[in-house]
Amino acid sequence: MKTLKKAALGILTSVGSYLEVGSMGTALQAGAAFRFELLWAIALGTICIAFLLEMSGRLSAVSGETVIGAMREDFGFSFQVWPLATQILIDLLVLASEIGGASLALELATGISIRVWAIPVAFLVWAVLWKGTFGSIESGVAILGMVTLSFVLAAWWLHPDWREVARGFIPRRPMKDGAQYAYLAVGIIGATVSPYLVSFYSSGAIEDRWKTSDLTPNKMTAAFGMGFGSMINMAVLVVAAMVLAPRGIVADTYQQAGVALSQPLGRWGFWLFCASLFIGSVGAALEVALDVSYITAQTFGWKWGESQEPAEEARFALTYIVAIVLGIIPSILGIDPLKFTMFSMSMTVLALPIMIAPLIVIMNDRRRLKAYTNGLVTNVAVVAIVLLSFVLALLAIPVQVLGG
Amino acid sequence: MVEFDVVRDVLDQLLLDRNGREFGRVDGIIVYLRQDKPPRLGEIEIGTLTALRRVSVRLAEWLQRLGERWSPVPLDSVRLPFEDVRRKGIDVEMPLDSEADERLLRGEKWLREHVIRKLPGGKSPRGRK
Repeated sequence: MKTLKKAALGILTSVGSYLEVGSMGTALQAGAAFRFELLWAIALGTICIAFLLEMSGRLSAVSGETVIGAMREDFGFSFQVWPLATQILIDLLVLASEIGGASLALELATGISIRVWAIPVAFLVWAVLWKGTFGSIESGVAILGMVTLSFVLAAWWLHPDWREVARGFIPRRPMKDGAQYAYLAVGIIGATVSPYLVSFYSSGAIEDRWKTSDLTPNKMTAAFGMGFGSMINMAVLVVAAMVLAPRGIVADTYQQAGVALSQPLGRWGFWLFCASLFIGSVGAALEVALDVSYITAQTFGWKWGESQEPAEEARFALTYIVAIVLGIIPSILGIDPLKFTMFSMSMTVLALPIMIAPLIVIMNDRRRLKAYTNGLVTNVAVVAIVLLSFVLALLAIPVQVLGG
Repeated sequence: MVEFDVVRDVLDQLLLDRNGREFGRVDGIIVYLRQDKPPRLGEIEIGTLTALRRVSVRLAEWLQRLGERWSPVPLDSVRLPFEDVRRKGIDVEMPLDSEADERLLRGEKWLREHVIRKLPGGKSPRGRK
């Protein structure tokens, strides 16, 4: 019973915090441009992230160590500095995208520019991290994040042709614009398989003091939490395919995409769209900013933990402050949040191999994981998806950049 | 007699003081080579410069120069006797109090007093929220 309760809480948390600016932006664009044809990319990314989260939770529950701590101990600083630097860079790009997303939601709702909103949004993120505990942030984000379920409701009301939807799970040659199709597929995978989720999840497992008795809830949270969460992402794509595509709206800005929920849900649809974008983005910004502190502290052996007062771990607190300050720069400069998000998500895919390869090695180390090392299916699935996505990104990004 | 694999069991491991507080990682190990005698394990070294030197000596020298000019606390690495090293699970425990020891946590203590405590809400007593 206790196991089931823990699993249910974990699943709810994952579902509530699933949608953020990256997954929402890429799904809106994919649905508007290619209708259901890119659903397979969400499914593929979800399989990969579910395996990765299960692995990182298992590592922490069995060894009492985080992914980053284990990486430093097993590979040494001279190796770890590279994945660490890459992840900090990717985290900062994602954090900037999330702050941009939340600010843009406020711009859509009020008409006041994101340049103005970026600083209050950053202040909100800082204040929550400064005073909140890990548990309160985790459950707050999950509960408020339930507003994103409005996309599922809208997708249901729009009565899509479910057979056509199902066909979207099989990758096939696009009818038009192959370069954009591949770039969007890469963006979707990058938004789904965000490396910050892996280090954040493993740090959370330590904060919540997981033990081997938590391995079953861990498995269920990874599989069902990510599974149900991805349904919201798929619903965003379906809504875009049903509402934006027939009207020829390409959704290359959020201003255009803002009408996605207005048709199925009326006047409330627009406000739900803004609320989903704002809450999803702020929730993810909290997690990413915290992740920058987690990975830096764990690498250098600082005291860490979101439930400690800032004065107890000054360097940990200062790291997320610096990250938040850097994260507002693109919004203040007026860089388009959706284009910046697409760029961040595709960079994530390019960076995946250097961050995931050491984790695979650690997860097969019997000295550390005893009887709980990876099985063949987990190893093959993760390596295959990461490599496939990497090759796709290598092909798609230059073509997209050269083509403008 | 306790057997250590110094690279596997000590280098890069988390350091805990006698109160269980984390105060860094083992960034380097000093070994003394002696004529006609086996090498002797001297000290463990803690510090960003030591860690960075393992990546690039030039980068470490550049950071050192930057630190000498701008850093409010010295960036020099700290050496602690290897004979005090004790294994605690997968971590390394040292018989000292890192909060009281002036050589340790210099950056942390400086930031606590000069930055964090000056921010609104930063004066809360230390410990859990």
